[in-house]
Amino acid sequence: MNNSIKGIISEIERYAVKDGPGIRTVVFFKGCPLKCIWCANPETQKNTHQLMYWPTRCIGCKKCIQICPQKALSWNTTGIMINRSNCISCNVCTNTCNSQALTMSGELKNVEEVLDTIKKDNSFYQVSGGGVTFSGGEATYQKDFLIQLAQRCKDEGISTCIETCGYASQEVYQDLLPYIDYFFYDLKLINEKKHTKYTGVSNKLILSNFCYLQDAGADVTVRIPIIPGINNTESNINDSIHFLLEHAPGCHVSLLPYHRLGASKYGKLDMHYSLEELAPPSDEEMQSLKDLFVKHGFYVTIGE
Amino acid sequence: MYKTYKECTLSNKQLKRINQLKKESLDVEQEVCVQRARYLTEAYQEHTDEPLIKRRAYAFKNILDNIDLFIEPGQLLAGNHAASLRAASIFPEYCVNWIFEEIDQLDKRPGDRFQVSPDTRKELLEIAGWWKGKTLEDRCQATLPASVKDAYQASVLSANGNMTSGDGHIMLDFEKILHYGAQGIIDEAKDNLDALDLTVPGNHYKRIFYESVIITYEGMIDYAKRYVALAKELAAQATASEEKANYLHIADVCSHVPQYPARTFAEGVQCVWFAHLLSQIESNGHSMSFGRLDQYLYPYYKNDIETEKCTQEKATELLACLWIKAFGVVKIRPWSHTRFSGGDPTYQNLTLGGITPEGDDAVNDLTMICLDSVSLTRLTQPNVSARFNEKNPQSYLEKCVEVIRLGFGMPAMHGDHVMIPSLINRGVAPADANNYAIVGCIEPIIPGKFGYRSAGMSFTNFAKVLEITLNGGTDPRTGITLLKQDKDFASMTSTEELRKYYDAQMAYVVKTRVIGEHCIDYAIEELVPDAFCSGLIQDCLKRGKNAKEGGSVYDMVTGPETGITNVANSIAAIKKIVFEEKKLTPAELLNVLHTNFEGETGENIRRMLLNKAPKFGNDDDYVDKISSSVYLSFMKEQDRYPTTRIGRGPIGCLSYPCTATISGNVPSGLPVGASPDGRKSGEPLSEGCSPYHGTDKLGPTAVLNSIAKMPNHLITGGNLLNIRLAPSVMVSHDGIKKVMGLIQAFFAMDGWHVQFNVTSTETLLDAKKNPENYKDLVVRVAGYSALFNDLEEKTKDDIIARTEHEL
Repeated sequence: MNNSIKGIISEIERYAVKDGPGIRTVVFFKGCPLKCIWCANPETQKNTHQLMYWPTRCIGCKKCIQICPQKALSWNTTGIMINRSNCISCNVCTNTCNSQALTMSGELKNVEEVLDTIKKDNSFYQVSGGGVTFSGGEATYQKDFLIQLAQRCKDEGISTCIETCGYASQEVYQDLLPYIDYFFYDLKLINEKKHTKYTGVSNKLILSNFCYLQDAGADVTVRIPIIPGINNTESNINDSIHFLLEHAPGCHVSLLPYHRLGASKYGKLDMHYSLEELAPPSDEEMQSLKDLFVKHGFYVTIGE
Repeated sequence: MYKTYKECTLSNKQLKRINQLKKESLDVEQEVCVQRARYLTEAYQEHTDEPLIKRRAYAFKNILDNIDLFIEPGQLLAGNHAASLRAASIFPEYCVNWIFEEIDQLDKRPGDRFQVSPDTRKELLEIAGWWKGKTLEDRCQATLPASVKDAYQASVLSANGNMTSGDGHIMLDFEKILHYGAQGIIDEAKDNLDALDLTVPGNHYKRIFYESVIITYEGMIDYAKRYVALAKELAAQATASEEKANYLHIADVCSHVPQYPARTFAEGVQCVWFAHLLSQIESNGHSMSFGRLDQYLYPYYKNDIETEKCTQEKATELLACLWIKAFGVVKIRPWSHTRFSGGDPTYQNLTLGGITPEGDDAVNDLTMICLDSVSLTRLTQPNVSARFNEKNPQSYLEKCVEVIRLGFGMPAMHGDHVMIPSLINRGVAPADANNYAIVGCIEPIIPGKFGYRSAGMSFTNFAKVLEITLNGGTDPRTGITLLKQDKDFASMTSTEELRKYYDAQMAYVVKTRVIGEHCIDYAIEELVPDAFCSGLIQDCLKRGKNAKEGGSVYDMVTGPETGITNVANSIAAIKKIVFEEKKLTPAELLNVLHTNFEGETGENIRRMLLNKAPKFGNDDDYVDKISSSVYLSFMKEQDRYPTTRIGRGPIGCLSYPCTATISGNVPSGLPVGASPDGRKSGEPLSEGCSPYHGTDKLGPTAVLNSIAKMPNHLITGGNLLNIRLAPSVMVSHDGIKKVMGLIQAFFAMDGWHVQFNVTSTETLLDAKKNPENYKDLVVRVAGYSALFNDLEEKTKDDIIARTEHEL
């Protein structure tokens, strides 16, 4: 196997308990074809290294400014400013910063390095029925790396799970099928125009891949993030129900309430968060949505 | 596996009884009770001519003959530790100096407060005056060598608990008193006495021991008879028929037990309570533990169910009453000791589950009922320990996790997988090892067969030892020199060199610790022998020796040790930053520690030490290996020294490591200056073998993996791990299953112990702000649970700072 291939990984999270069965390790792949405006992991959208700045950790020693070979850092009254067009992600500043106020999102790793970390919790997977979950970003965005990693996990007897937006060529899913035990598949919006508006891409490929996986007999859980005012409209919910009734009747539907835990990361990346004022859906609303899906014969969970 | 157990709900009447009794116990304003001290001193003065053990036996009986009795309305059990509810008795024979110093401060302490009435104050000062110069503490102070006192002064060692509170940490042979009754023990002592050939030298002492045992068990029988009379009197006065019946029931039970063998579950529970209570009136030590109550009371429960004398609901109710009784035992301690064990814990441990001595699954109906009953009371006592063995049913583990979810820190989970072989390795017989139970916090002992103070000997402060090593053998705070070195850290050139000096310094500290413990042990043996307790420790009666002179089957004692993680993290930081990356010189590091990371540069260096070097608890071999090696070098030294009972009968007579720091990690940190792990001067040390607060970044599996790499099989005294979980984790059935998986995997990889705090940070912060709303908030401190309000502010902050693992 070609082990020189590297993936760019933003984080590997151990003891995840809401990303598939049992105790799992989640590998966050960096890079995503979609740009959902509610994205909770904005640092995983780009497929490159990105410098992040954590103002609350900064003690203002300014060592990073002096040491940056690209002169990409400067000080304004509130803290460090990053000139991102100058930054070449050389990590000189992050190595210097003792406070971890500057961190680099994204690390190049080969398959065996990632596998070694995954294997560390093997004994926990065994007793709890857990394993690894590939997430992101979008794991299929780094398809060659993903397929090799998934294959190696299966070699080691580790259960595999993927959280995917569905936006990749059908061949990718075809290649993945033998190595993935569970698919968590996002259905964000059924209306193509709206899908394009809020995520940046058409949903044609997504819906057709969904049908492909169903036909191929994959174990698929549908995930619908509930974003108030965007996809919780009566028409989108009805469209979703109709689509699923036709292609995956009785399937497991996981409703994920919109949350704001990723909002603070936008500033650290100098990105703009457009949903600053949006409140998460109420428990009552989530429950009534659940009831609606249950009424149509689906198995429904909220938040997991 | 259990047979008839099913989920059940108690009747409203039963729940009301439990809630009422619990409320009364929680609401009472704690006060000091002088009666034990009064009757003890009276008898000591009357029997000046007798040998000490007999003098103490008379004193014990005098207390039981005279202390005011009461029965709480609605209680199903009789017997109290003091003359009023949750009052604290005084044990002047152990120490009195603190009484003079602290009597007017007891109601003003930062935690563990007590009221003292003017009459009590006056009488207590008189009694204390008589005892001055005659106590255990006085003897210890008089006999400790200067080198040991120096080590205590420099805070590398602390042995306050032993000197001021005696030993404790004992689990009686409850099976024996259930089977034979107090009368049976008296008869056995009499038979042995009759058989003694008094021409044989030494048998003189055996005679005195047997006579003393007889006096104490006669005291026990008479004490129960006093309750019979009181209950009858109260029944006569009672107007409500139910109340009357209740008192008559108590009179009936107490007229049979503890004198005669128990016949029913109700008699069994009362008998156990009397024995357990009286052992805590006899001596001042804490951690007197219930042991495997689900095993020794099960035959009585089973028989009662089969003959329809009892129901599951009634048994649950009665056990809830027992736990409220246990909560009623309150210890008052000098502040020097209290700081190390906040929340006036008595560590009355209850052990559940595991396997039988024969190696079969031990979970039975009563195991499950015990878990149900502690869920009802949710008090700090008993300290519940659940053994987990792969032979135990999943439903038992699930029940344990459901109780953990309630958030009062119990049960703590213990892994048979490592404990049993660890005990066997120390010389415990396999069937006995299978039968282990937890005493105090997390220390495994063999019920009824371990004598003396099996745990809680001197605290060894690892972080202080490192600080002294870095400073050339001298403590910067007190100027005291322990083992003088030819250089300080500024002139050292490698991690290996530092380790050489550190290990030598540690060897000196261990040796000093042993010398100190011998002094204290001999003083305890001479001044506070316990005839009652020895009557229920195998083989004291057979050998004619009390537990303190080597009467027990096994004699194995333990620590605890604090700050191991701080030392491991510190050495890792020195290795990486000073010697590998050379970002700091040794002199620069030493300087920044002396100035407590002063100024911007200091703070920057502190953050480098904290953030740029590996920390224990993140499954990183770099530091995990250092942690093991630091602990192993301590163990190697400890192995060299036997206890004072060597050659006098017991198996073992050895000491082994333990990381049950109770809340000692907070005061242990106070005298320790800034450390190379980025910890500031005076901040708390790490707790048990838990990662240092906030430095475990990868979640519980990484923590558990790090801990599993420690030499767990050799830490026979117990390896304590605290993990705080957010309550959200276990909302669903799925969440419970995942916590079960976590526990099972940890034990499969030789994990020793894990306990969970399931309370959100928000709740704790609010409880700190509004204590009146959280009167019954129980939190896991370290090896035990305490009422949050009873903790001093610093310990509260410490608990809040523990990394909360959101599952």
